[in-house]
Amino acid sequence: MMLFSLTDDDLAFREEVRAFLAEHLPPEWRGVSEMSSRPDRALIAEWIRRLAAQGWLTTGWPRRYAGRALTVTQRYLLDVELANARAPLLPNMELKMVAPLIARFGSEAQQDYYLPRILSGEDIWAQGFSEPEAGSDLASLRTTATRVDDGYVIDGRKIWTTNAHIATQFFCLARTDRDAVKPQRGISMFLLPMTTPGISVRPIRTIDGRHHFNEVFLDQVHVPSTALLGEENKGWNYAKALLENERLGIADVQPTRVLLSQVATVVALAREYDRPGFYRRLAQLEIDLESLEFLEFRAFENARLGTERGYEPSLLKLLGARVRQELLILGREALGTLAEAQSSPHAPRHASGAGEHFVNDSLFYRAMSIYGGSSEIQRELIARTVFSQGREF
Amino acid sequence: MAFSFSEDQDMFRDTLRRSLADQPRHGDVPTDPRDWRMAQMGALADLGVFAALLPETTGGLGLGPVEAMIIGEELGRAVLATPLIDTVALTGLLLIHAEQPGQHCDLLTGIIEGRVIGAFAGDAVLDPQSGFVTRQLGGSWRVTGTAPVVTFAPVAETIVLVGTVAGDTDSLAIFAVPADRVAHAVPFWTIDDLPAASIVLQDADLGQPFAVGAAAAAALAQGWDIALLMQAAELNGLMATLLNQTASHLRLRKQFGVSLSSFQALQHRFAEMVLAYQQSLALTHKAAWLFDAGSATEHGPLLWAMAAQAGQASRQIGHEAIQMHGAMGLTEELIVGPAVKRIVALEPRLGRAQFHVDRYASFLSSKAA
Repeated sequence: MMLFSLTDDDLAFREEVRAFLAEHLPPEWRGVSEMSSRPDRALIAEWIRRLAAQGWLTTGWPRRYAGRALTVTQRYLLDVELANARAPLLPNMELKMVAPLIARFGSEAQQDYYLPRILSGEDIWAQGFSEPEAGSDLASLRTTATRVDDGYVIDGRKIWTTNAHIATQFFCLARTDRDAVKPQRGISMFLLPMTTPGISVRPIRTIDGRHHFNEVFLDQVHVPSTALLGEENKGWNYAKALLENERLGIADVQPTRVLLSQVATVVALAREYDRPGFYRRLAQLEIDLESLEFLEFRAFENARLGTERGYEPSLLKLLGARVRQELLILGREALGTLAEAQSSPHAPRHASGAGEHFVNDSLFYRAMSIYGGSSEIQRELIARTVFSQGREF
Repeated sequence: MAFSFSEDQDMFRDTLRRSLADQPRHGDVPTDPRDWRMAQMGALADLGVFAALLPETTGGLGLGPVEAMIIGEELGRAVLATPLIDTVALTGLLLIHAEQPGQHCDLLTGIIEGRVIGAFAGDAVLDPQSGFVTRQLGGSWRVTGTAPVVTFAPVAETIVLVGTVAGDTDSLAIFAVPADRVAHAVPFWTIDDLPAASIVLQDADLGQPFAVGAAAAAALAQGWDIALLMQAAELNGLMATLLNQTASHLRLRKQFGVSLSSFQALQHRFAEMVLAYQQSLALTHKAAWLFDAGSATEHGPLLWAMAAQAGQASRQIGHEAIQMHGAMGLTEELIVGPAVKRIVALEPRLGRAQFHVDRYASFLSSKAA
């Protein structure tokens, strides 16, 4: 469905993206991110390099790295075209979170070291925020960084660390001032290689049978002063800015759009008796997704114009998680017991692959209403913002 | 980027909002529905509300779907039940799109000046209880069928009546008939305090239809789409008022020594109301803009999505607003009660939310087939 009326520049940009995809996205790469087994990092790295060569990934970076300054609409169009082409999913952690963070707060040396490595796809980053005793209440984190002559010694435990088992770099929050007036004010942020002595990783298996999460132990991890991002005790601000970078994209809408078309395929093949009920649910979810897409687009526009209400990211997160989770359940249900038959040689074609996808993802994406601020936190943020602002609807 | 309001549109909205806020909302409700008069008709006409959507060639202002949406939103916000949708979208625009404006000059002038009210009867697609079958008999057309609830019929000058052509259910015929010729003698009130009457016809001679077949279908679609958009917009306006009222109530009302807004259960439910409203608003704005861009094939399904969401969201917000206001929400003392009544009455008039979801579902399944 066409989304909106575009200017001639936007249309030209879209044509450019389409032409690029026709030439540079090999057919066998299409859809590689859709199965439960994720594509290998070498492929992703190559894909990042091809897009980076167009200058499309560096809007907002320091001038010496900046490619093209894409408008909000153009970035949105790029996302839509990539999703429509079923291009390999780009890693949000590196491109949408870490890179903007370092671009904004990092020293020139940190920028010159890390940013090219992100653009070449060679670095994978893991984020050390959550701890066993600090989940939604992140400010109560206990990991410490103690100043020593030539740097800091970090001690503590991080948990739910996605990709720590394959990551090359790590950024984490640690307490540098135990006596700060507010717990938020005594926290700093550090950037360090995963190979630093004292770091060990314990895998955490989740109920989808895959390995996403880890526990990361930091035992007397010695880092130089240059590992500090920005200023000491300002880490909380950087963490907030990081979430700002990602907050509008947190609903992860385009993959959900791809998922919807996969679920539609399965629903179309469901038993005739079940089909009307499934279609009704699919229709409801597509309606929700339509509204989510426009809410997301508008949130970007409002952010640019400075006319936000402040709770937009929470709306997106709440709805984005709901639509993703409901779609996966619908896909799983429409396949019925076939959903588990993917490894059987007798599984019908449409069930193989798709089956494991829906069952495992419907389990794993229960996490979507937990990570990045649980749905309960989002609801509270929305209500509090409305009640404290007193701004009319 | 077409997704923002022009300065003119913002001004139009501000003027409407200010003027409507000054209007007395409660008129005296007469005993007999035939005596119903909307006190604000003249004021609305002066604001250009009735002229806005009619083409300039007929004396209107020639404004489009975005303005239609703005008008709907502001009427909803003011909790003002008007005959605007029936009169402008389903009578005026429908006649104009059938390309016979010349025949209805007086009627259109009357509409623009706020003197003439139109009513609309019969669409079996929306309501199986409501529908007409027409057949040509020599030089005249005979119509048989029922429309149990035709809002504004007792006070309308003209009723636009739609029926299928006998023997060809895909073909439509549209009649514009004087209300007193078809409306049932005993009028009644709708739940939102509007006058209504049933129409029951048995082989009635309604003269010549003003449009048949493809012309009728095209005219109906045009009027219908604008009506649907205005209705969703009005529901959005009603939701906005309910949210404002509820937010302020939760902030100010104290129980157990603290403000209601400090209770997490209420915070979470209020957040869900905000989300439902924002979803509805997003779909309505998107539909209006696409409609304005003139891309009929694109905006069709989006209008159904919009209608479905507006219907569901307004119901949810209405009921939650009552719950959060406690027993006061059940009275006519606050704006909550009348707003919820308007929602309950308005939502099914152009198809219940479930109907639009189902329509969207058949669109999806036909796409897959």
